[in-house]
Amino acid sequence: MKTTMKLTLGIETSCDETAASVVRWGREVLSNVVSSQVDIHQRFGGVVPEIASRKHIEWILPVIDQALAEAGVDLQDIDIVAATYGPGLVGGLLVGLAAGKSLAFADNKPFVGVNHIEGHIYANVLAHPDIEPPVVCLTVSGGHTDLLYMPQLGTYDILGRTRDDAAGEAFDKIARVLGLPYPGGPQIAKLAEHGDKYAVPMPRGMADAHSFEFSFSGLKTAALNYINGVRQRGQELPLADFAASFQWAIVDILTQKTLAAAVQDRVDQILLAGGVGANNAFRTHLSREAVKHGIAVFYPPLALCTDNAAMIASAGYFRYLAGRRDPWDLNALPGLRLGDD
Amino acid sequence: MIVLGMDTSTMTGGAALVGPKGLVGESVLNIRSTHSERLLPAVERLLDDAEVTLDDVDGFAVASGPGSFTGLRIGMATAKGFAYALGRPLIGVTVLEALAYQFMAVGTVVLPLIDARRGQVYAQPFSGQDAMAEPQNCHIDDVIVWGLEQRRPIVFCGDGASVYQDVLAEKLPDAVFPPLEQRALRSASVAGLGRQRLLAGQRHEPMELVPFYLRKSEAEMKWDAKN
Ligand SMILES: [Zn+2]
Repeated sequence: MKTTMKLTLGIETSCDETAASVVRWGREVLSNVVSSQVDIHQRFGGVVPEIASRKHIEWILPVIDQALAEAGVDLQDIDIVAATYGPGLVGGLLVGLAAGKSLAFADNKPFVGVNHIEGHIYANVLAHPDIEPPVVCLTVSGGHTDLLYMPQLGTYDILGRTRDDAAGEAFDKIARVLGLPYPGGPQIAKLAEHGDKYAVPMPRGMADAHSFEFSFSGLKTAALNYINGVRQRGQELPLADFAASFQWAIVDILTQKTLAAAVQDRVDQILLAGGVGANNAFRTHLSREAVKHGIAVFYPPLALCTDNAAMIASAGYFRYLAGRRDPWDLNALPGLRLGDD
Repeated sequence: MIVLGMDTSTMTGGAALVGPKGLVGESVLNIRSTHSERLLPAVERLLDDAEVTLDDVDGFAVASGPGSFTGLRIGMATAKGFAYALGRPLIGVTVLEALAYQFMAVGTVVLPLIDARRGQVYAQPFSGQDAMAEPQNCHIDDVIVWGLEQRRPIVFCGDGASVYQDVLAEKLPDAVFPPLEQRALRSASVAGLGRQRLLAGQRHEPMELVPFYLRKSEAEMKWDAKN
């Protein structure tokens, strides 16, 4: 599709990073400014929404100003403004959304609201120029597990999602029971490195190949029962073997379904996003299996895995190309899911 | 000089245009929908109806607080965006000042009260446009003690005036309550007072202006109490 719209300003304020970025043609990052509040929230033991919101309103213009300056452009040069409108902390979302809408309104530019989870997928698009839809995409973290088909950038259909827990949630829950520090996923992955993944048989939820729905509550229950059983018998938990087996159950089902979706939809590219998408064992296994079908697996570089506004600008740009415009009354939606918009 | 004023500090809020001849137009609603949904559409309608473009606006005024923390940030982020995008001056006026400005002609004490829940209010007394004390976050009982010392009529306004009308009327014989719809802050007052200040050369740096919360976050208050 030909367009003269090339520069997108992206704004991201869904958690504790105030971020702005300018991206050209949806793919080329001209600037990517992130002001993190990690230090501020540390003494409270977690992100305090009201404090985060106060920092966002303080930082929003300086961060946008710096993003424009680093890109070497004026606000007038921007063609599209995109801002995250969910999911996330509502107070923070509202700051970025109000600022984005008002900049677009003042300068007569189109405005596009972006789903933060969809944004993470576009970290791939920024990093890999060779991504060419149609693609299948798996975005999986502590909050969601969604399998998508993207016929072109900027649109998607949901093929399946989890019916109960997210995959990352299962990781975190079991890690907590094992007394591992938060976030639990990377801890279990570390333990699993030296374990035998076939040592403890674990169930696969929704293993029916014809369905792209996921379920992780059965696995969670089985893992808990196993831990309790071992403890009740007064035995020592084979930590490495258990972690490897538990992780393998998740890796195996995610791989099976993602690959089945890619084969069914005849795509030769798979995109990964989200915290569990960064799990090494999963990346390696999926890539190895995919190659057998001539399918390439992409995941974003570490630098673009954390929250940033470049991915929001990219997602917003392609949503715009796909015909999306948002009205001035767009509200922040803290519980926004993929498929809701 | 035409000034666009915006208020999102309470459920009542909206936008107004004020020029050399006074009010050009105003849109104020007291409804449940959030300011995120209604502020920009209100500004758009107002400009359309007044046949004014944002380019014709010479400056922006915003109610900086105190009030709903979330509401304040929606108005302020919007005002910052306008001022930044158009390179026009921005001024924040406190809700208390703007309410006092609304009643400055009454010739007696004006005491705006903004409900801060659980018996608390944000308050600041004025005589004409002159503040008689600093803005405070206090208990309604403190307001009554202060009011008893005045021995002259006190005009109560703001949403706190309605929440505490019964107790105020009972304890303070000189309390005066304007009609319900007159007590709320009008965006026109924000624009009018803002315009007055902008004309006097005052302004806030859009990059630096922050809401006037008058109260720390709950988490910080708990932290302070513990440490
Ligand atoms: Zn994120």
